[in-house]
Amino acid sequence: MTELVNRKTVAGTGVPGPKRLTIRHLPLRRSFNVLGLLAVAVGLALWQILAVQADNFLFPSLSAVVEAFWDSLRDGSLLEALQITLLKGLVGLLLGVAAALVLGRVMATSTVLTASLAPLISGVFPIPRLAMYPLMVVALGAGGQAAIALVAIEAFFPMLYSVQLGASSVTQRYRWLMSNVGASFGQREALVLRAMTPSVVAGLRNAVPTVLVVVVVTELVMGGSGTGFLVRDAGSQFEPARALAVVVALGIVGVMLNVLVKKLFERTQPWSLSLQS
Amino acid sequence: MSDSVLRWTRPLAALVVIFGLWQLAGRVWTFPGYLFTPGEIARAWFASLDPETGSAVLATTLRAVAGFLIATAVALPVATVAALVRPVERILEPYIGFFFALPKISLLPLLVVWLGYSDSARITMIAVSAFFPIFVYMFAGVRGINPGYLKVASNVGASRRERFLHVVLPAVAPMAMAGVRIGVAISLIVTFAAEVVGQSPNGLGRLIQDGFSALDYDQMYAGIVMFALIGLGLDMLLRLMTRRSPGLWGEGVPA
Amino acid sequence: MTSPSHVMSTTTVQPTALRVEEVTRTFRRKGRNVQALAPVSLSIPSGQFLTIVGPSGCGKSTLLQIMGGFDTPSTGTVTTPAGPVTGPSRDIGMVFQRATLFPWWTVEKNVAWALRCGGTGRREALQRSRELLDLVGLGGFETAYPNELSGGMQQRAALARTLSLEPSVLLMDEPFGALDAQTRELMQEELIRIRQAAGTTIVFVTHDIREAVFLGDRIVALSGSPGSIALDLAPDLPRPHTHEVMRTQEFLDAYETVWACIRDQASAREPGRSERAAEQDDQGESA
Repeated sequence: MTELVNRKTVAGTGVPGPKRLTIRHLPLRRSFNVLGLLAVAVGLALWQILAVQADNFLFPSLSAVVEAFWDSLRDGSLLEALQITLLKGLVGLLLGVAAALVLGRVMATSTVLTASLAPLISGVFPIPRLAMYPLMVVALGAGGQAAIALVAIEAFFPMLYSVQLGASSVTQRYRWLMSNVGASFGQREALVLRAMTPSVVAGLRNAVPTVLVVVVVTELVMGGSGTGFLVRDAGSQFEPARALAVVVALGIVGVMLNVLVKKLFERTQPWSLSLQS
Repeated sequence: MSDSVLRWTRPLAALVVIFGLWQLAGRVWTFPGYLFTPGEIARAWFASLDPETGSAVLATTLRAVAGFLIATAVALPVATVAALVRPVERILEPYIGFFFALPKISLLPLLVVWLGYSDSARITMIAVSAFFPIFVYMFAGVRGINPGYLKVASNVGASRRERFLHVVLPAVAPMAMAGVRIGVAISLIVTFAAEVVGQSPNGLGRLIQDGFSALDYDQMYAGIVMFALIGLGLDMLLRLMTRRSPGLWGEGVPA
Repeated sequence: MTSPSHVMSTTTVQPTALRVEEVTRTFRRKGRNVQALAPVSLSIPSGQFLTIVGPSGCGKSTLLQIMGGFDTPSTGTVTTPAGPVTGPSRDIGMVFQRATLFPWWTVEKNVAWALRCGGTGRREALQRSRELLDLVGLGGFETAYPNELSGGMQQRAALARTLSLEPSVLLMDEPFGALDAQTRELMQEELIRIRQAAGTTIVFVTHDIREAVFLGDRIVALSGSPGSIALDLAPDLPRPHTHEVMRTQEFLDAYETVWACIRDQASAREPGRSERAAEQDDQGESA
């Protein structure tokens, strides 16, 4: 109890000051998690022992997966697949974010527009847009385009929500200030963009994991190439070790992307100390 | 009064305008066969209302709800314990961190290898995917309980039971519900993927996929609309459940 | 437990409501020990209105938390006639800096819940809750939700809830700190009226010297850090009183004495030192 209060106090004391806060001041970097490391070691050891005991090719041991990982890394198939998956994700994400930025900025210029469209944006949240994928394949072909379009749509809605939220943080006082100092159109838009950046990056924190999921699903469904295809291929050839190797690679990439976006968030919003999760 | 009316009429008007323009565009230009106007979508949807589609809707809903319920039943208690007991948090931390970032759907081909093209594979997939967002929100909710609430509870001498039922539970409810709503949305997405990749013999995923193979656009559109309706319906159900206590949403949700 | 006539006087010998003996508190911060409280001893006669005043970071909040059993002293003891304080109890009521009402209940249910936890029956608890809300001036707002009330009204409701415990000591941690100046003055007069009616022993922490001198029968100034008692004053002001008293010479003298003490302490301290680190304020709540 006391400890919990203390931790919150440390985080809560970060009133905006002249001092630029760095990551060392954030409550994120806590003491090294020895217990967690131990738990991972135990988990991996158990996996190895149980798999060797079972001696069933359907349940590959840790060493077999590591071997498969190494093999697919050396023959280049894993990296190639990751490249394909990430490229589709990136292009789709950029398209979605760009569209959201433009529409979100336009929406924020009018309260009527915001009041009319904002409920629709949050309204589509529970709709599984993934179901449109086969239709997009019909429209755009089984290549990467359909996947990219789907990623763009999937990224667009949460980003639009964040952009619109960020744009609404640009208050009347900012606008008065801008006209007071005689800012040009370009300077105004640059300032608005800077003010919106934290919420845009916050939106990215939600969008990026989703993007990865969507690309993998499309590759699972349509096959062809990419990590999703690789897992499916290995699964259908009853090579679970090879499939698991790809899954592990995807996990590592996912963690790296999360860390990347988190860092971006901290850079763009150094004053925000009360980060969750 | 007029404010609450405006809140509904404006988005509704926007919706009508969007669909109207879309419809109009279909009149002016000739759309390719796969691009329907809202009118054509509505017609395809009405035409699809038969027992066969009904059973597909039922199968998909049951799968999604089953997976989602399993995920919730496991995530809520585990997250609560992890948030309250530091060693448990520490042990779970690396595992949660890894699996949260992993696109869980990539496990589907493996689940199929282990469990066959069966509903146990599909529902396991749904449950595993929905687990993590619910866990993360619940964890943050329990951690984020205003420590003042607990101080008040100990000041008035609340019993363990009173503290849990009257303070902890309502304080956590908004965050838990936010996580559960995301869990439902994820469940549906994964249900589609699990039905298509997991070779489901029935369900909307199958329906849409069959429509795709036969290039039957009517069937595809009808399936997509049905999927959307299930999503909206489940979400509305959840929101109705939370509307009962008006005080609940004033505070408690960390921004 | 004390008759209102005794409340007026602090000079006659009273039974002690709360005794603080040689209490210290040390926190661990970033691997270093930071002492928030030097040995502090205080004896609070029952019926007294004691105010503790000091700059932020002087450890006054920490001291109050220890008095209420919400924090444990590193050394020393806190005792009541019922025995040593080892944890929070209904005998020592606390009003926090922020009202901390449960947003999921109406105001009357918030108060009634505190009564129910003490074993009062449902109907009686609701009845008593309404009486208490009437006492704090919230009659007519019983069925409002906390977020429908202003900050001052929320703090009144929180006060009603704490009074419902019928505590022998009432602790108040800068309860009016978040209110605007006008509401604050009203609440101060209101508190004097309520205290007159309830006759409880009160320990009131504030950083506002005017507030401390106005409310307190006895004013203790803490200096930090570590916090220790720099001044213990019982000015002879006409009681009961309203804000008119602030124009009297006695008030101004007392104010000047406290202010001089705190100013001396402040200038004696090295400048630029982090005061915040020393105090474990209730900032968790304001996050």
